[in-house]
Amino acid sequence: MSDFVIEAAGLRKEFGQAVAVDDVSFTLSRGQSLAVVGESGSGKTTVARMLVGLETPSGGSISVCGRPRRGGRVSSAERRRRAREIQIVFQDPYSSLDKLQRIGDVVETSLALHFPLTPAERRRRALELLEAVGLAERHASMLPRQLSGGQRQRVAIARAIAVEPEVLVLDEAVAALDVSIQAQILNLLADIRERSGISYVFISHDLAVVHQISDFAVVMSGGRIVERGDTRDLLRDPQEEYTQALRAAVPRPGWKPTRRQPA
Amino acid sequence: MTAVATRVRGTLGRFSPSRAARALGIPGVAAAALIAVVLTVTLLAPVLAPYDPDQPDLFNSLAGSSAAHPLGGDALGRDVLSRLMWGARTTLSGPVLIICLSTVVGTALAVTAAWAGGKVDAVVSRLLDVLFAVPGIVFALITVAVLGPGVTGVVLGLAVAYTPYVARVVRSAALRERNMPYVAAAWVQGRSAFAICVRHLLPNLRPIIVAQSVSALGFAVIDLAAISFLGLGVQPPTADWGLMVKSGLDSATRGQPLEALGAGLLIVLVVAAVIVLGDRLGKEGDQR
Repeated sequence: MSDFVIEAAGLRKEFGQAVAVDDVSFTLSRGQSLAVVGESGSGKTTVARMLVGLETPSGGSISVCGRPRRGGRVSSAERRRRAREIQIVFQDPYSSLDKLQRIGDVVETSLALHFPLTPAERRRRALELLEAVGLAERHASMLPRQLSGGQRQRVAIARAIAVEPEVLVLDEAVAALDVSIQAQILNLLADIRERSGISYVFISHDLAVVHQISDFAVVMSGGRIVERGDTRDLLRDPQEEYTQALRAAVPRPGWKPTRRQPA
Repeated sequence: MTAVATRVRGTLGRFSPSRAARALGIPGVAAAALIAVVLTVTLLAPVLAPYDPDQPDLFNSLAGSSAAHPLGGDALGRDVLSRLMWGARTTLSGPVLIICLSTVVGTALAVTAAWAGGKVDAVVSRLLDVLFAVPGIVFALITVAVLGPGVTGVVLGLAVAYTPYVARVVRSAALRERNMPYVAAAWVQGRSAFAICVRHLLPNLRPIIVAQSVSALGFAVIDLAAISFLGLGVQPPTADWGLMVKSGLDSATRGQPLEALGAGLLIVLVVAAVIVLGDRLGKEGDQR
């Protein structure tokens, strides 16, 4: 059996006339972290949604943990099995939690779906998970609106890892947070990977973030992969014009926006 | 300490009279108070009503206001005040039943359509459009034609008529909610569609469902009273506000206007209060 947790080959997605993703192929080895980089509209979020089964590919194939994913109707049992292979954390920590559901219940619901635990065991495990993402017991009885954006994103991560998936897709998971909180969440993700050997697919437009978290990166533009390789090499010495432009677009100290000629 | 404070704040966040009053505003509180008074009198009619509402008394026939009969008597000499109190039961229970039925059916249709999307949504939406185009009274007339005059037929007909009133609004809200990332997250976690709809969508849609049903209730009161006025709904001798407006019109031409006035005024007040309350509840829902 191959040691790839994800094998995507020739992925394609059309929305009506528009082609969002075109001939995208990549693999992800167990315990590795792959970044998918690109600007808005490059198709990277569509790739993430296809990986977790929220969109059906128009063409190409996806295998997760060596099992091919087929589209169409899927039984509940099969969906739960797939859930234990791959999970996702979304960009917006405000809308990715039900505003009426208490934090402890968010994690407990996730556990109840996948593990035969008694209520007391489930409660204890939920608190362990909250602790693992840097939250305290008192947060369990709170509603999402009582937490900050960073704390909510920790809850979303706890909910995802509660299932103990092989792969975690992070769709711009730190983009909505400010820089110091970003660093905390990235450290947390690194810790989790070290402890559990989970693999990440890190969808981002932010090269600094990508640099911290990923071993390999693919660069997407207009739905296609334009460049791929080791993240460090890619960022230090981008070959493709698009990647160079993407790198050059990052604001740095001393950076001045180029002004257009006044009309 | 913090944990306790949080829990207290959490409980208060759910319901407190002062918070509810502020959210409803003065018109909303007045409407709620009026409805509360009417409901209390309705429930306590057997205790509060001074006379048997169905007992004729020829000495009191078409009598004006007196100490014994504050609102006088109707054509058969029955005490108008007692009939208004008892009549509230039939006048209000019918619409409540109508709205319960149409809210349950409408919400089920709306959430199913919003969740399934595609062809199911298209079929349900067109069906609702067709139902919406037909006035409620017409539906009631159809069911009365089939089942004969009486409350059962009218309630069924109006329940069908009010279903799209609830369903259309709930469907568009459910579509918005269904596209929230937390729903996608629950799906990726392997939760069943039914569990997501019942555990996530319905609780989040509750304020909209309540607001919409309460305003629909106001219109259902008018419709049912109108149908009883036409003689197709509640049948004599049962006390009912719509019927009392009708019989009161005869009495009014013979010098006893209190029956028609009392029943008419109560219908207007209750309907206005219910619609104002529904409107305020809807506004509060929007602000969440």
